[in-house]
Amino acid sequence: MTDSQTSSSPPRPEYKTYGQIVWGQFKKYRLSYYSVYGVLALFVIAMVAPVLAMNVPFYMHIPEGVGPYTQLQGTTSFPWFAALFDQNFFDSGVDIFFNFLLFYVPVSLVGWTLMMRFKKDLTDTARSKARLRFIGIASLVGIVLFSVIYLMAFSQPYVDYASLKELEGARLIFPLIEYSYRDVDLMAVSQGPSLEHFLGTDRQGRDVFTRLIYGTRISLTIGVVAVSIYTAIGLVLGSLAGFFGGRVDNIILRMIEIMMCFPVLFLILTLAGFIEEPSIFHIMLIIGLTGWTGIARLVRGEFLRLRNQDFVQAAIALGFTRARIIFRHVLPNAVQPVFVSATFGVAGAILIEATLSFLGVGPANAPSWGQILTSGRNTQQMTLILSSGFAIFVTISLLNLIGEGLRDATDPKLRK
Amino acid sequence: MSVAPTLLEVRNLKKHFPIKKGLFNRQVGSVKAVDGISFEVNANETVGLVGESGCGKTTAGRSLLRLLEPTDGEVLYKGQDILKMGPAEMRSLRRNLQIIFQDPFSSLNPRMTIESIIGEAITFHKVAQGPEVREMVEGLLERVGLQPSYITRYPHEFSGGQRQRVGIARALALNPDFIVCDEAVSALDVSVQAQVINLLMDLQQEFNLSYLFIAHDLSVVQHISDRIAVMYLGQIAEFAECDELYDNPLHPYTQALLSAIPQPNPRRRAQRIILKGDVPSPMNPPSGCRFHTRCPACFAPCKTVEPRTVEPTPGHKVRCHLYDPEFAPNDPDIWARLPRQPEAPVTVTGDEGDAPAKRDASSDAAPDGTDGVASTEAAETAEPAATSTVEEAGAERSDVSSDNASAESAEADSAAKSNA
Ligand SMILES: Nc1ncnc2c1ncn2[C@@H]1O[C@H](COP(=O)(O)OP(=O)(O)OP(=O)(O)O)[C@@H](O)[C@H]1O
Ligand code: SF4
Ligand SMILES: [Mg+2]
Repeated sequence: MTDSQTSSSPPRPEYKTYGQIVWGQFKKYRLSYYSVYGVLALFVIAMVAPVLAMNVPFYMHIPEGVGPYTQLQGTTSFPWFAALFDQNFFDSGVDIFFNFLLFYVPVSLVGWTLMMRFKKDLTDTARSKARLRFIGIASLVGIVLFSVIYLMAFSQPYVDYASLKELEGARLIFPLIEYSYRDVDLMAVSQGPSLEHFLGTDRQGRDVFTRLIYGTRISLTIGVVAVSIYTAIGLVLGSLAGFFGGRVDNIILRMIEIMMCFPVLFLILTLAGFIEEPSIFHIMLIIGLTGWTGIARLVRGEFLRLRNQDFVQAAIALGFTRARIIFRHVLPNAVQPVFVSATFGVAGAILIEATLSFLGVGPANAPSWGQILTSGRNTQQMTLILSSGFAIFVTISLLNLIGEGLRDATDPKLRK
Repeated sequence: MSVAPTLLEVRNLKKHFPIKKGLFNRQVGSVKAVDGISFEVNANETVGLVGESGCGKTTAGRSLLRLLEPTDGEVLYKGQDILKMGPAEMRSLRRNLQIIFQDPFSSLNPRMTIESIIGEAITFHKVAQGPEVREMVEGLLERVGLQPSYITRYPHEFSGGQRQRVGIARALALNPDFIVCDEAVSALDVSVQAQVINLLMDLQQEFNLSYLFIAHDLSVVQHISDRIAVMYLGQIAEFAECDELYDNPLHPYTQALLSAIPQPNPRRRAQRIILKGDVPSPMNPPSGCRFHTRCPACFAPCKTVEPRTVEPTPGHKVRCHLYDPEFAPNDPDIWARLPRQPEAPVTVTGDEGDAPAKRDASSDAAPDGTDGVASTEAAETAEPAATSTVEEAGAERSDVSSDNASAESAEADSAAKSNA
């Protein structure tokens, strides 16, 4: 007997799942692997932005009878924490969301570590399953918690904390940089780099370094959300076209062809032109609604390929329902190239947003990198141009490197 | 051999793939991958289906399971036509009809463990629930010669032979009656091939299975089949008991195929003939006999008249003019061109001289591709005395040949006797 192993060595206890194999492959592409940490670092920067830069003190003590704000006199408080969820202070949901993550992510990580303390004897497979389940539950709880916090619409009256700093006997501890991304310092317009403003200020006297840090939030959000929107649309339409074929396929193919007649950037520019004061949500929606054709065609192709694979034929022969065949047999095998494409897509969406901002039709008030770039060009400030350009370049390179690594890791022909 | 009840009967099954072109997807033709095949599979029997690559074996196997929707024909499972069933009825019937695939690497879902690959159907059809499922899967794995502990593994951890065994276990999970084995061993090493074939034969006894065993060469099916159908360009050229087919192949195509396999048995040895030319395209099959472009014995009517299926000896059907009493040539040269002389040559009537006239008459009326193999029962009731029955679907033709056939039946009868 050469292939049935009725008498050979005892079975190894652990076997890798497909995901583990791809991850193992991916790790071999060093540059791509490190890029994951790079993007994680960007994500951390986005989260901790208020720790680095905010014009609200962590700690504040005002002596009795001092200062313009009577309600603050003789109090010790921690205004920074409250300000994180203050919708007067952060008027964009994106900021509130990242501030929420600033607390929620560490709490979840601690929870996970504690859980693993108690269950030391888990096998690798069981652990990765438990991790998946934990991530699922934690995300769900997080979404609910965030929605509650956001819908409560907590807000406080505005306090000019910077002015309190000078008061007799007052003690305030500020973040590293004492500016918010919206702080306008009319006394310091279009300045070069200094100790006060690391990267100088823009035309309106806003601190560029702060805006750059908060810009990470905008870029990552736009990239991820826009791509999620169009991936979802593409997945649904592509699956329908590929699985059912015939008339459905024909209609969807025509839709794709019509969409593809328009150059995407011009379509986006036109759509953005219709909105008077686009917010970043408008931009995400526009990119999301115009970008799905690639994914749809990809998924359609995968479905056509998989539909004729023997294991799908076997599933039909076993009498399974269509829904089961689509969701259990075809889709899980079709998403892998979608994943790769989505990674590149995030980079693409960030670039589109930067382009839109550069052309002046981007999100109006958000501290986006593209906007810093334009204002640098308008005032001939090299620091602005170089710093924002560098941020865009690094982010996009990291994402593209990850995408390339993923693409190669999932391609069985390129297995190292 | 006792007569087993017919489990599955295929009648005049056709599958044509439309060829579409142009802006509006106009149909410009069709690939006649399967063009009117008929055979039956009895309970606990293995029918081999052999033919060159591209002759439509896979299409036939998949169409009769409705993995491809056939263009025409009937597939009777225990007397019920499964092609007329609604989706729900069909789904529950699928438990009885299973398939094993050629490529062990694409036949298992790479994202599922062996347990869910085999167990999914058990849970889906509510054969068992909970921990029982795992027990059943372990039992099945053991039965196909794999370790029960493999259930947590993923397909990529297995060799081709092991995967094929998993595929067999999956097909067995619902306790079917009938399994299409589509080149189930072609992708395996020779030593593993033998193991898998033996496993399939053991399982057949144990679970009372019937197989349609598809293969592209005759040597593989010989061991396992009770009867063999030889397919050429979407049609069945010859259908006979296994031993009969090997000992006394009638169709020139079968003879050519057989001459290609090395034969230790000198009785079966024949001059090796290599078929000239390629298989013609099923999009545009040759007129008359589809094999005429490559047939060494091709004679006058072959190019124009489509041959009928005749049964020179009971249970041995062949689709070739050589054995059709109406056309059988007198000229010994034609017979000499065959790589092997049939053991019971068809006796040709003396008045062969007027055959060409008849041939012309019938070539006008020759039904294009409609004459398939009529069912055995039908032929028997029509002409109970005859051992050599001529079967046809074309109504016009039956009048022309009925008296001719009865006249000849006596001679064929005596020929068969003298041979025995
Ligand atoms: N989906 C399809 N569309 C069009 N033509 C098809 C399709 N599937 C098969 N064919 C054609 O039908 C014919 C028969 O194909 P089939 O796969 O049944 O052959 P086969 O006998 O199984 O060959 P092999 O031994 O190579 O597996 C071929 O000419 C093939 O090109
Ligand atoms: S019908 Fe003619 S061409 Fe066809 S196989 Fe018979 S002899 Fe050959
Ligand atoms: Mg095939």
